[in-house]
Amino acid sequence: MAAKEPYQNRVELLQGTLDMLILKTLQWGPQHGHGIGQAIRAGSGELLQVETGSLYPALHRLEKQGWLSSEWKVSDKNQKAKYYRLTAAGKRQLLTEESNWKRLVRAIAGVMKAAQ
Amino acid sequence: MAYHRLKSFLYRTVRRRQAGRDLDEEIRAHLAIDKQDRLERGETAEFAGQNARRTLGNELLIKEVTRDMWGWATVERIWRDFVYALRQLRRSPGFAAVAILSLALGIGANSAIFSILNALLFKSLPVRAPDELFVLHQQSHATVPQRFSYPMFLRFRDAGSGAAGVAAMSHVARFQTLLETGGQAELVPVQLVSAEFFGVLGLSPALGRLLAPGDNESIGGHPVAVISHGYWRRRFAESADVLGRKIRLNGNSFTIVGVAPENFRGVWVESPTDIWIPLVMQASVRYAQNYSDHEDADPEKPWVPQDFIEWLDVIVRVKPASASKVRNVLNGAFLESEENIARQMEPQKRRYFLERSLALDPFAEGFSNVRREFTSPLFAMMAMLALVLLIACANTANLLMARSEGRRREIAVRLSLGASRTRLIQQLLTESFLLAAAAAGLGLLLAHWASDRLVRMAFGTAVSSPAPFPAGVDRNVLLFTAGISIATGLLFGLAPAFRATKMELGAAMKAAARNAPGRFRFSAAKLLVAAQVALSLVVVFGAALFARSLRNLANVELGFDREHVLSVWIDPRSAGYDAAQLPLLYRRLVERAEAIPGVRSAAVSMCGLAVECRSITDGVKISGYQPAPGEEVRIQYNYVGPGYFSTVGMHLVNGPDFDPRDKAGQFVIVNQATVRRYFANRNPLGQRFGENLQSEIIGVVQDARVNRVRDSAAPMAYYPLEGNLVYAESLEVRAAGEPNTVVTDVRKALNAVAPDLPIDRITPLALQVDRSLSTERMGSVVTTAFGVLALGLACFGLYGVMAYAVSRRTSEIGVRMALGARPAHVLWVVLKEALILIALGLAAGVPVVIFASRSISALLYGLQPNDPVTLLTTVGILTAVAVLAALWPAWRASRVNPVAALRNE
Repeated sequence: MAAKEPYQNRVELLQGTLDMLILKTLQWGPQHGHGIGQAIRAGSGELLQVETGSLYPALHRLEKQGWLSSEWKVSDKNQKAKYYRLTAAGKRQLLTEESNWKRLVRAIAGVMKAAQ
Repeated sequence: MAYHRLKSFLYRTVRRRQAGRDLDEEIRAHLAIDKQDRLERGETAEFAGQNARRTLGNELLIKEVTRDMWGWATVERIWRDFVYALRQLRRSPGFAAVAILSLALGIGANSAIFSILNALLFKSLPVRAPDELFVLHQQSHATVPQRFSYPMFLRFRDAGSGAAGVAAMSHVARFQTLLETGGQAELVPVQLVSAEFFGVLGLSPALGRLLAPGDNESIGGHPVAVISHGYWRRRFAESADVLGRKIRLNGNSFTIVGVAPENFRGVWVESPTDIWIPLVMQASVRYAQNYSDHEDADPEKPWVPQDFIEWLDVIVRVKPASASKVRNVLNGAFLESEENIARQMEPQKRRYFLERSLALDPFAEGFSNVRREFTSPLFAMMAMLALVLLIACANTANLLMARSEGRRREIAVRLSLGASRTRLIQQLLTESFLLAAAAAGLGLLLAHWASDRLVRMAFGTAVSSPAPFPAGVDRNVLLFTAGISIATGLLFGLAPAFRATKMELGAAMKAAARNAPGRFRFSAAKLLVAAQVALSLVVVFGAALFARSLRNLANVELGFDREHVLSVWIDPRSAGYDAAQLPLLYRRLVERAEAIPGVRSAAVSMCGLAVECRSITDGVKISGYQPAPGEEVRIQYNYVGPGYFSTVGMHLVNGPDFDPRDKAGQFVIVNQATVRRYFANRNPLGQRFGENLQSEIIGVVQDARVNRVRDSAAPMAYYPLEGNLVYAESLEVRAAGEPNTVVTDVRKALNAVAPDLPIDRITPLALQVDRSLSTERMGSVVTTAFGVLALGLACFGLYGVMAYAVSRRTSEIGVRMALGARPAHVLWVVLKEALILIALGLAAGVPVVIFASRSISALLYGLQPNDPVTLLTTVGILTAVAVLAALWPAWRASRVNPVAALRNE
């Protein structure tokens, strides 16, 4: 197996949040896999690094669920790439996940505050 | 449905490949974009590509995991494993052939025997709701006839029991049958049934009508017949104008009114029926079989109105839930009627009558005379064949392990590349299941081919004639075969798969890694071989027991001369002879037969020898013998013509033969068993004998096994045929030499005397006796064949393991020989290992054999189940053959060239 990388100041993704992040990223328009990864990394201030080994399975899973659709296009840099797009069902799913997430954050925050 | 599935599978397979290419493309694009980003950020061209690849991670793994998301990964993987396994097997055809063939023989043999058991035990009659059918059965302390009179049947039918239907039927008899179109008369199985029969079974006709309630009305007034579908096909080519055609049964004209449904062959498993006629026709067709009568009965008058002739089986249709209620009502009717009858009897007989009660036995599978007789031999055979299959499993497991030994490096490489052990085990198991499936397919073919042949063999039916019952491959057999095949696949596949994938990677990768040379090691392979030896000992010993038992039966002293007698089956009753005509007929038959050159003598008898013709009379009185309380004196009897004893070669040990001038019924000759049983220390001559002490014993004849070879002689009485108007079934002809030489002449002579007398069977007694041992012979042949197979497989396993061990130790042997070991010593070292394995197997096998063989003691004749001679012989043969198998690798070891062996290192 691969050797352990030196410790970096990175935050592990919470289980199940990757799907939400992908959906959220695609809210701003179609994007290819590499772009999605970069966008999440940039959006998190370099804190969240999405492994390719998690990203592509997630994309294919979401597509199978019907939340994403995909097509091959040529990028502005003249690169052929597979672009993912949010479907109507995907948008609804994003709303559900967002509201769930907000409630979870509030709940955890409440617990943490009370504990202080 | 299946087509739809196939289409969607193909569609997905095609799309799957496209999706796979798509994924490759997607990852490639990812790398390209990443590389471009890096170049733009100022990395050099050389590093940009490398870094992009490194951050991507394990490309194959990513693809694998992504593909899993598609959902059809499982099917896909099984398919890929299947293709891979197929390729692996194609690469080693020798291994595949040995494995598949040995397993197929094991599976096929088990399936074939199971198909016979299935036909006898599990297959339901092809009728509506067979579970609702029951047959009436009489329970009693004494042996009672299991049949009912016609008036009794009517009482059952009209008792208001709540049963959905009650029907009665006779035994299946062979009638002389002639079509109106002429042609040769043939003997066709006919059953007499009450008009309710087809209704109770819930059958509908293939053509015309079946018998219906109107067909019971008057004695002799319903000459109608229903024929089987098979008979319709054979004799009428399925022509629709068969309805209304006439057919002569034992000389009486019947009108064909309908054809039974195609798959219905009657209710007797081993006696398929071709024609059904109403019971009320009994007297017209002179049916007289399987009945018991009472002094007040007259068997020569129509049986239908008679209370004292019991000749019918009664079946009832009732929902299983209300069966006990129905039984109670029927039992009430039965007891009431029996009581009325018993009232007219003397007290001793009355008790015997009243001790009976009725039970309902399930009838879903129909009648079978051989069911009970066959079940335990078949189960014993199946147990032995299961062992053969186990040996084949062990053999295959050994081969698989040897093979995975050769694939150690491949497996190690795949493990280190990240393949999970589960995956590899899955893959190896797929290979095993593929082998098992191929063996199952082949085994089914074998079962299909063998089952009917085995049934014919067991019944002594000629190969040309159809088997007594079809024991083909049906759903049950398919399920059974699938079941044992899967079990087999797991059995031989699981352990090798686990072993193959459990390894120290580093050590396995090193090509030179060899087992440390040294002493005897117990590997799994060697243990398996020892187990094979143990199992084959059990099978070979079983086969030897059956073979010796068959030989004992074949050589048993029968008490008559089987070598010189020709036995002719005659049936003057069916041919329409009146009782009054019989004496003349018999005299002329015997005279003409005796006139043939080469014939010493001839004699007629009521029952033939070794043909299951058995007449028994109970309630016999013997002067001077006081029966114990409750004892019923039951004696088998036969009527024999003048010169019978000398013709069949039974010796009179005391007193004279019958004199043709003796008066009817006045004299009787008993056998030695009767004397032993009833005349302990008395002289039997001159004593009185019979139901009314009406006969005088004038002689004693030697004991003979007249029924079955297996059964030692029971008390028996011979009455003179002369002066008694008894229908004879058998004519025995004693030839001076080989009886086969006079067959044609005898047939010609009999035809000249009585052209209308059908001669169904004309066989040398030796052959007739031989045929009565068919079941034993079938068992012996099958077990011997598989004993040889078991031995062969075990030896093959032993050979394989020894050869492998020698090849692994070539260099060690080379060193030893270089240091001065003599070839003979090396030979002995290797052979010793084999001997240890054999001894181990035998040590495990012998106790098993001694324990297990007890369960077949009832099937053996003339030897004990743990017969020491047989056991020693078996052990000897097994050891000899096994040593022979080990000799070749040992000899090769002793020929190792030290220089070549060491250079190999």
